[in-house]
Amino acid sequence: MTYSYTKKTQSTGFTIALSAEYENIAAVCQEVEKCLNDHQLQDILFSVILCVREALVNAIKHGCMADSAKQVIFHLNLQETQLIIKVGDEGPGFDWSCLKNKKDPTTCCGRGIRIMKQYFDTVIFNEQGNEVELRKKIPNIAGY
Amino acid sequence: MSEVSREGEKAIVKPDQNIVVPLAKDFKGELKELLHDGITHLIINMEDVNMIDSEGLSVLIAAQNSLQKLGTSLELFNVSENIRKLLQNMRLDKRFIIQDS
Repeated sequence: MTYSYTKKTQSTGFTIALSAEYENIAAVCQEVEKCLNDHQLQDILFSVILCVREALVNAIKHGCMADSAKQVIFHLNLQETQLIIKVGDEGPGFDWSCLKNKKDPTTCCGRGIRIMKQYFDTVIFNEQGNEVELRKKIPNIAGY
Repeated sequence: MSEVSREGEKAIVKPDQNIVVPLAKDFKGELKELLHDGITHLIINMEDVNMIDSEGLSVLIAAQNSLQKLGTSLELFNVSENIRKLLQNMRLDKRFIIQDS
């Protein structure tokens, strides 16, 4: 395995730079799980891990075309009343303004962003479409 | 890899890990092989599955679409509360037969 992974811890969260390989997703999820457990946020563990997975898969698969030479940046910031997650990639981005609100449950694809919108209060893409920001309001975070 | 119990055209499949990228692709291959092999009644034991992502959901939907052509439906059992809610949120809970554990 040649995949790379670098974590930098900040006072309210951490940033991980990873090569665009699926093998890195589990390691990022472990870091997120540890952080949420440390702040007694087990109630949202499933939904946050699920959305982290979706955002990372999108960045690796669609943003970087699973090119291990490219990098994905994951950022988690746990503020007093909200959780903010950002996932950016080195890809060209996509035209998020054309996102269709697919609701047909029989289709086999296009469900990742819908999942993120289901579990987070806000899902915003940057202008270029190569970074997504997820925000979730969380009352009573332990440690604040 | 999944544990597979077969009885005629019926198969019970028990994945031993979460159905997520990149593992979901292998699981898809396993189900596809069973369907090509004449299985018309497919049941998935979700006991060891704590997480399923959009790719994993796509695998279940693809299997259901194939079974629907044969006049049957995919059955799931031992589904965790979190995954049950996810299926509801994605309006997929009516697409499959979800047995009470």
